[in-house]
Amino acid sequence: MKNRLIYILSVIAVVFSSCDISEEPYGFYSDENFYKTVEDADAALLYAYRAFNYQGYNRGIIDIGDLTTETVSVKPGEGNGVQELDNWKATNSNGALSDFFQYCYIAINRANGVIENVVDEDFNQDDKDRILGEAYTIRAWSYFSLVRVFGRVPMQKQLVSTEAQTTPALAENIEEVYNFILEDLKTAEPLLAMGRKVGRFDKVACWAILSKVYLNMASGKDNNAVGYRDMSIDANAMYTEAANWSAKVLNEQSEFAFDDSLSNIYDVEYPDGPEHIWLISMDRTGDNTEEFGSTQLMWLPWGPGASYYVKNPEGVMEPAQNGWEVYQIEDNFITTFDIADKRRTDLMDDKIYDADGNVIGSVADGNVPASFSKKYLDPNFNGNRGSTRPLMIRFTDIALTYAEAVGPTAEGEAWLNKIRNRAGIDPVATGLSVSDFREAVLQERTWELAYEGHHLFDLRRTASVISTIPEAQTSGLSEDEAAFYAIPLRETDLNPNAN
Amino acid sequence: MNKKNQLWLLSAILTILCFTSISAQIKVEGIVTDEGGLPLPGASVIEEGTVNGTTTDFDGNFELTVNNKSAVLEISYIGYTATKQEVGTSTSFNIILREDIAALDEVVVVGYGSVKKSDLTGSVASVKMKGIESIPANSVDGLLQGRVTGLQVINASQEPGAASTIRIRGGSSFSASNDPLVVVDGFPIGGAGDIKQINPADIANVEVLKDASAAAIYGSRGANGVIMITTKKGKKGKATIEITHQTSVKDFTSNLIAWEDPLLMAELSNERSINDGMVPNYTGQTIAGVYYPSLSEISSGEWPHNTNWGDVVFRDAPLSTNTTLSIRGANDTTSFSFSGNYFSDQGVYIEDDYEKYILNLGVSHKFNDWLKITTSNIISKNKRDNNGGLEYYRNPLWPIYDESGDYFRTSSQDFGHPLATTENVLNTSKGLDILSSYLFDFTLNEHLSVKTQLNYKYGSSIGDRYLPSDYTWEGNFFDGVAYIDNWQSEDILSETFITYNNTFNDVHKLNVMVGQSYQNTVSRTSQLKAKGFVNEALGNENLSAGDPSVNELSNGKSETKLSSYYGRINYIFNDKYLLTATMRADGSSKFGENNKWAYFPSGALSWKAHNEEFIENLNVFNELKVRLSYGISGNQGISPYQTLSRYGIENYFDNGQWKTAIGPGYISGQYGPDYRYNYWSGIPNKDLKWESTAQVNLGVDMGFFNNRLRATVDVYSKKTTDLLRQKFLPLSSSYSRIWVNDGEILNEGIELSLDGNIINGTDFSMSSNLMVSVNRNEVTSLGNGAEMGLLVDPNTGMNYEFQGSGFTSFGMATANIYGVGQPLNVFYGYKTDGIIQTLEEGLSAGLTGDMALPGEFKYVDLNEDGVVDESDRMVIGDPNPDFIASLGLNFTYKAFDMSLFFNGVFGNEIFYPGKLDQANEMPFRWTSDNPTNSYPKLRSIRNLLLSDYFVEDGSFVRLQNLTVGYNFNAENVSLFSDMRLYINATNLYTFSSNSFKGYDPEVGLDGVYWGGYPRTRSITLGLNLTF
Repeated sequence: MKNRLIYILSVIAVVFSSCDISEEPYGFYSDENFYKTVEDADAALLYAYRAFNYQGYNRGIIDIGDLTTETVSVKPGEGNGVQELDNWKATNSNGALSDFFQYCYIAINRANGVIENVVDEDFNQDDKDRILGEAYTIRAWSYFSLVRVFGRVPMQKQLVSTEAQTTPALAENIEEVYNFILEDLKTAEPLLAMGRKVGRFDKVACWAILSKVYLNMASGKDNNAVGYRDMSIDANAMYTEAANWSAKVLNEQSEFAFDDSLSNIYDVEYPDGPEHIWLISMDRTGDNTEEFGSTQLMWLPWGPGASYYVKNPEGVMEPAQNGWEVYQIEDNFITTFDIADKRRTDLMDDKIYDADGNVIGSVADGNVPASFSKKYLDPNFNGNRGSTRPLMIRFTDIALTYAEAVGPTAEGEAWLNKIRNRAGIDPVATGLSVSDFREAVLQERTWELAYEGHHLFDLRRTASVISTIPEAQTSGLSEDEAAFYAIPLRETDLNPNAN
Repeated sequence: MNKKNQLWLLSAILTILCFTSISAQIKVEGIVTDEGGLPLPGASVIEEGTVNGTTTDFDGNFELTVNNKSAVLEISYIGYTATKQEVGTSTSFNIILREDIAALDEVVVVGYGSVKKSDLTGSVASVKMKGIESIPANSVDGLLQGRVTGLQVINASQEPGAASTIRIRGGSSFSASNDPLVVVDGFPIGGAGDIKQINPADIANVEVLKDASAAAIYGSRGANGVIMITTKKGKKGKATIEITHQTSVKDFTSNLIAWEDPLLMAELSNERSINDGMVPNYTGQTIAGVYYPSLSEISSGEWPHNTNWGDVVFRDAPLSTNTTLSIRGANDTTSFSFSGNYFSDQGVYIEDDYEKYILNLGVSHKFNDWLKITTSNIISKNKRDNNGGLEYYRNPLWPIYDESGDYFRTSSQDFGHPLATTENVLNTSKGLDILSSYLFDFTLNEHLSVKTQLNYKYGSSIGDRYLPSDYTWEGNFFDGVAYIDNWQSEDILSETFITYNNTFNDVHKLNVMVGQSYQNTVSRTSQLKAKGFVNEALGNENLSAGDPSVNELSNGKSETKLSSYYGRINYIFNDKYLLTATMRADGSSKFGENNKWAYFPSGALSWKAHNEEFIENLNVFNELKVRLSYGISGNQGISPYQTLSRYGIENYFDNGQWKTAIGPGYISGQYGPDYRYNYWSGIPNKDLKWESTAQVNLGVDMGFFNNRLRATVDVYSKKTTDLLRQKFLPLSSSYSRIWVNDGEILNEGIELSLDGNIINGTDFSMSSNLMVSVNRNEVTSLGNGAEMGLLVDPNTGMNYEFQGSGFTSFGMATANIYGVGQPLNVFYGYKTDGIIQTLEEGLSAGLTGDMALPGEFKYVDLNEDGVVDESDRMVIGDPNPDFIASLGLNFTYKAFDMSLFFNGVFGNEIFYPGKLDQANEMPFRWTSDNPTNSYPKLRSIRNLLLSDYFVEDGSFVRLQNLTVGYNFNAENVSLFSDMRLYINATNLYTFSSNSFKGYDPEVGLDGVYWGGYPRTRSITLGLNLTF
């Protein structure tokens, strides 16, 4: 009996001994097992860049930057709130705006993760500088995207790893946002080196962004735009900063340059062309929607429902996929171009062709709903996969930034005329006043950078949204009301500090 | 009965025999068997009014010497109704004992122990396998339909090897599993629905634990109720060899919905095209390379083709067989049980097959008076060749082959040709399951015992698929796609519990159990996928033959650990007042750091009123027992790793080459058109915990007329709180959602079960069983509206969210919602008021454009604001039944037996999204000559809104089973000791509502009628042989 008892009790003791119920991550990286090496940090940096590839950001570039303006309208029935963007009826629950807002913060959070984890790591100094420099620039660009669309936004400065960190406070004013952007860019600038890596920021890109940021502040203040008018800055000092940083891009580096060939800029085979200071890297060999570009489909007409041909900017027939014809160029905008302007004759079309160059559909015969842009064509498309990329910062953009900042100086006029000359139109009149010259530069930007995601922001910083965009006028908004979109409802609903 | 007792009895009998042989007495002999002719060893045979008696031997035989001819034999056996037999002039008797329908002393298996049925305090129902073993089935789950109150079983698919959906007392979770826990011989193996590892013929008993008092002992897995399965063991006596065989043949219960008259089809197609403003097809023209005959060519017979695609895609007589060989036996120390099963099931579609083998060996050995070791091992292997879903509704005007003998296809993008698919697409899967258990049973003394068990469960499957480029959409897009899908799961459980049993002063009965368990479950998956095959001859045999640059690999693993302590006290006073209290503590790896341990208490009181003198004196009740229970059980059906931070992995085209990008936040879901938008997750909720279900149950068990009429009524209320849901986070957090506990569901119901042993004659008997279950389900909270992103119904203020995926035909609108104050899954959409007859009518109804034209749906402008828009939607139907009921009727006449089983679902509604395109609906369309109000004008392009037009009454009553059997008398067929032959018909006839014109009304819980795998009727011929 005693033996039996001991035997049984020992069985019980073994079985009742404490059992492990902890949980270890399997097959995924987490706070615990990541950011240990330079390779980790590089992968995390690429993850931050990757945020701009998602449709939430990527489609917002044209949906917000161009579709809202007088230059383009949208296919009826297209969803996610883009109709409302086009006709200026967007509310704070607009899908496209909410997505754009969130994806800017996705980039910010990923950049915050890199900054927080790398800043104290014992990496090789060059690697550390490069990684941190790019991460600060990503964060700055994201806030620059936010401030131009929404004005004052919640300031998320740390990596979110608990729910308690999900209620960042709204910036006091846009000046706070701009100061944070400038701080990041100036931290990044000395860390970054020269040298292009397609899809990433280098020192020149940082200069370019600095010049754009200063120009926004300068012209916003100068034109008494809401938000900017209350900033404690001097417009001319800001123009000078913009001129200085853009001059560095124009004069102090050799990697990027003015491309004399207009068609070359839009050739998808040359993402490393001289103009492309920064673009979002996409490639037709990608598997997911965000890895390859589909912007070509947003413009191309459906046509016969099968592949057809378009005349490329060089006048050569090249194959094109039947598109979704979402973006439709407005006729009233086409007529603002000079009849000989190559940006009208070569980069827009209203016809589609067969292989032999016979017209098989046109706006005139009703088979093409509207004129379309040829800035995004990929003759080597594979199904809906293309290598068309959002052209984020072009050399020409910075040249125009410089011209606008310095005003009608000889250099300013020279850069403006260089651009007009490439487009095949006459030089600008000489002897213009500063404000007339700046207006001419802005008009040039409208033509030159059309459908590259700039126009709305140019109108907003010059307080000319209502005077320029008929749909904005019709909607009954004031210039101040049109200057920023409301913070999305989900944010104000869930973040008590965002109101 | 042990040997010592047997010896004593034998000597006693001998003594009596010697003593009584002095007078002129009669020696009688006989055999005692059950209704199936199975001998009953150990049955007691006593001369009435004396102590003279004996027990039957292993073969059921007895001999007894009685005083005289007028002596009466009393024959009794536990679990059977005792019977009396006058001796008279006979000296040889065949005594058949009938199973006692109200066998109060039968032992019922509950969690970690068993109790006498009469001592149950909770709501526990037993299923008699005897009633259902004549029905062929892959797994026992589907057979439980209608057999237990409160148990809803939906066999929505009749695909070979398909699983069932099982709910006990309604669904109580949004995102966790609603499947009851299945426990096989003490081993919790997972959720109910597909217990294919267990051969139904090996199952001795099934018990269903419904209320908290019964189920809370299973703690964080008990909230959905528990199904306890006990397998057959060897019985003492001569080893028995049993062979059971079933052969079934299937056919359709009615004609499937397809075009029988191609002329009508073509006419309606043309009419539809004209209505759409397009050129009609059937005018004798070639469109995109396909010649469409004109109506006159079809009617004159000039067009030679009228293919009956049903004949092409369906088997003439799909056969299924189910054969089990079992050998069982036992002596005083060792018992064994072996069975082998082969099950094969041909689907109604050609080359659509399933087969399964099961081997089951159980051995139990008693080493000494304190240690018994039992082991059971089940190996089950299955194979599925999937070729279901072929297009029997393909255009009958198309031939099978073209002139050159190739498949006739309308274009290179026509992927619907059933023979092309059958002959070229590979889709098979093979599975292997092992269930193994080792039980050590220690007896310390007559009061105290310890059981330790080790259980192991293994499951694996390999799926092989090849989608060729010519005949499948996906294959065409990627130049051939090959898949190998691997899944493997292991589950290890160790469990020890101590039971103490004692009776004090004859009136205090006490049973105490405490125990501990630890369970570790790991499952792993991997998928190998290759695309871009230059030559497709190898199918998926060599994935490296695909284009190496586009190969895809994925793999995953999930591991959960569950550590538990539990205990139960049963106390009975004077066989009148019963008390049960249970407690379980569960610690799970899946719970958040701050909530690792969960506690689940329950308690129950019961009163055996029939043991009170004043009730006895009423002479009405043989049993009157009242039960009251309350308890809390949980649902831990959350995926692992939800409480850890998690990073995502993507690719980035960095400076001309693809690189891996890793960082905070991963895509946990996708939404929107083409699923183009992402949900981001990855920050942990350290407070995440189980869902909690509090249930109160009041039950009454009654027996009348010597227990020949029995009734059980249970009333319950079950409130589930802390439901696992995903809450939205501020956009600036960069994350979309996080798992939280927020939300409530209430289930309330009444269950009634009536058993009547109506006629109980020697030659003829009749019994019946009626069950009615009523469950009312309500979503009482979906959490904070803004945090959860809930929608608001503008007319009622109801918070709701859509549930399930959208329908292409309704502009991606979704039919089901979870709405606060509504049952789960109600339909939400527009209300219609017939068909518009004039444009004025349409315009005044608030409709515009094409939607206002005659022949279109007249949607109701619910809020009367002059426009029909999204704010005019409402709850338009409820897929939850008002009640479910079943009726069983059993008859025996001499060696014949017959049983009928009806099953019914009442008051539920069905959403029938494909209604407008059906061959049995389209001919009744609206035309200007037929201004009907019940079917719109034929259109292929219209802004079709999701409306109540597609909601129909889903009630039905089905004659689910009819079995007629004959039991051959053992003596007539000397080779066998028993033989039974029977015929069973399953799904014999269905009475459904007139409004529902679909093929079969048994649909899933969401109430959506997809059309799916067509339900068949099967006729089975069965044979049981016992040697």
